[in-house]
Amino acid sequence: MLLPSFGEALGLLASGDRELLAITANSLNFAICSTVIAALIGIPLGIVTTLREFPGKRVVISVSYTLMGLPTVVVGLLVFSLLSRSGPLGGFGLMFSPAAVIIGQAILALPIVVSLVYGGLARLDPELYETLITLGASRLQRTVKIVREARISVAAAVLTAFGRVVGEVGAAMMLGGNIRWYTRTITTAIALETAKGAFTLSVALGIVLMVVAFGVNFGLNYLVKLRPRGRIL
Amino acid sequence: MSAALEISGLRFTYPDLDGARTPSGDLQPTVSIDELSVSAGEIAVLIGDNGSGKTTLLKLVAGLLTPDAGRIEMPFSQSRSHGSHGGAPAASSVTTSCAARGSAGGGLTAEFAAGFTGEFTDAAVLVHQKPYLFAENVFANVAYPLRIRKVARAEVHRRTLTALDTVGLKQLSGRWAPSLSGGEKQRAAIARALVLRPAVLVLDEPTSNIDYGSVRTIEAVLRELADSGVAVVVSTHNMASAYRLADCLVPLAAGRRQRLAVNLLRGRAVPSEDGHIGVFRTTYGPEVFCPAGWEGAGTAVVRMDDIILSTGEMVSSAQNRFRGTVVAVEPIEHDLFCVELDCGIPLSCSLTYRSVEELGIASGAAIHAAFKASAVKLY
Repeated sequence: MLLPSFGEALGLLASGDRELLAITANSLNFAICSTVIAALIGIPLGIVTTLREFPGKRVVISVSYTLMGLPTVVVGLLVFSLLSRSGPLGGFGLMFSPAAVIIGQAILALPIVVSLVYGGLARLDPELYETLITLGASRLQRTVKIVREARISVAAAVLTAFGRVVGEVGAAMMLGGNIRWYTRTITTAIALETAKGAFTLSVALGIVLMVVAFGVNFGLNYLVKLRPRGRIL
Repeated sequence: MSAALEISGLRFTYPDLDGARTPSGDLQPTVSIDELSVSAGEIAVLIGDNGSGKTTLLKLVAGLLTPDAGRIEMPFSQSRSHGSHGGAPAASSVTTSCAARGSAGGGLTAEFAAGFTGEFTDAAVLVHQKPYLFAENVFANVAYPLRIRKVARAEVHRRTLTALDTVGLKQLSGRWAPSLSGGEKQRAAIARALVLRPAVLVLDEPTSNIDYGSVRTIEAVLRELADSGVAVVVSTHNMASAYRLADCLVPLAAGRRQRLAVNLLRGRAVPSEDGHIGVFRTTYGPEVFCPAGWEGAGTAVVRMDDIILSTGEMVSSAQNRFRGTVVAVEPIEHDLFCVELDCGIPLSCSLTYRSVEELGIASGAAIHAAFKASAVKLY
């Protein structure tokens, strides 16, 4: 069933089908926006969690790690209840809009960024901190240098978060509503097209998604492989 | 020479440490130093077992820990002082004199030596046992402390290259720092501290986990730095390195200074005429017989326990026989006394109370001292 569609899908990809491109662009846009938001909030949170002592720190770390595996439909449900007309944020009219998808995906990405940034910084040699103090670095200079030293871990955290949200379907479906030309993403389109029995577009989108996933993985492996020499970033 | 580092009444206890307690129930201080003074141009070497308080003392000097009481002063730069002279009453006060040596300039580049003339910009900088080098090239590592101080680019460049030249790493300035060998990392970390022109350079076990060649290179670098006027405080387990380096040897146990149990003599071992025994020419003048085959060694060590005293001239197998006077007699512990002698070279030896009584040893008394050539260890 899939095999004949595979050839047609390749043809669809080669032809530069407008709808396929629009769906792909939507997916990438939503994933990039949500990852950027999660990074802007999550990287500082990860830094604070690592470098500062505060009551309940262990709990925050445990919760953050637990939420890395947060089911996408649970996030969808949570944000749905907030953004729906009867919800506390219903007045903004964000339901079934790109913004709703981005909010949901950012919530999914946030614990991944926080946890992995925390993990990356916590693995740094503890003598780095004392070295910076003895060299006279200010608190801000210390923070900047520590993040710079863990830059590969930070970049890996962001890439991992992107990989997670670009392939998720629950939040995108529940919050975006899979509206054609508007909130339809690769994953929601595949779900819909497969249900309709239209495999050609599904397979073509599946190929695109796999290329993106391979790209993310290749990027991560590249970071890890080059780590000892640190020739990047 | 004036003191670059003066410590008095220093007390520090780790707040989360569940250690030994005083009779009054207070925690025993992790570090309790009544007095320690290191002059400019002098190398003080802290020796002691693991847990003796060496690293804690170094971190206190470097400002990474805050003392509970006492003073740490660095007159050539900013002064740090903490608390008062309160706290636990002084334990046995050991005030070993630290003979300063070396002349300004030494073998350093003229520019580097000149940079230290009255221009110490930082108090004390610590170089860790396993120094952390940033994931960038060697030049960027060494330049970092200057860059964060917004020093002009040309000045950063000049001082960084000078510091790298001083430690012999100028050729490796473009090398990726984490890829350096252990000895090179140590030297890069020393250069990174040097660009700040610290009055006191503090090094925690700089010669551990590196090969012998690198140990000698680092020792040479530290000696040259001291000769340029920097006070150097080093901790080490490597006794040979400690003997070679130390102008002032500071034994520590349980965070307290201990009395030195050896005589440290500076000079040069030279071949003897008959070749059957070595000769060590001390900087004080008199020669000391020692084992042959150590030509070039610059330090001779004689344990205090290996020196025998008598009121008359001794006839024995001991090749080293000196006539001198007793300078001081001080109780050490239990029935032991430390007798300090002036025999043309200063010597200290340990005697039991019974020996002191039998020989009638007192300050000013004439005395004969002897020790075997084989008791002299050369470094």
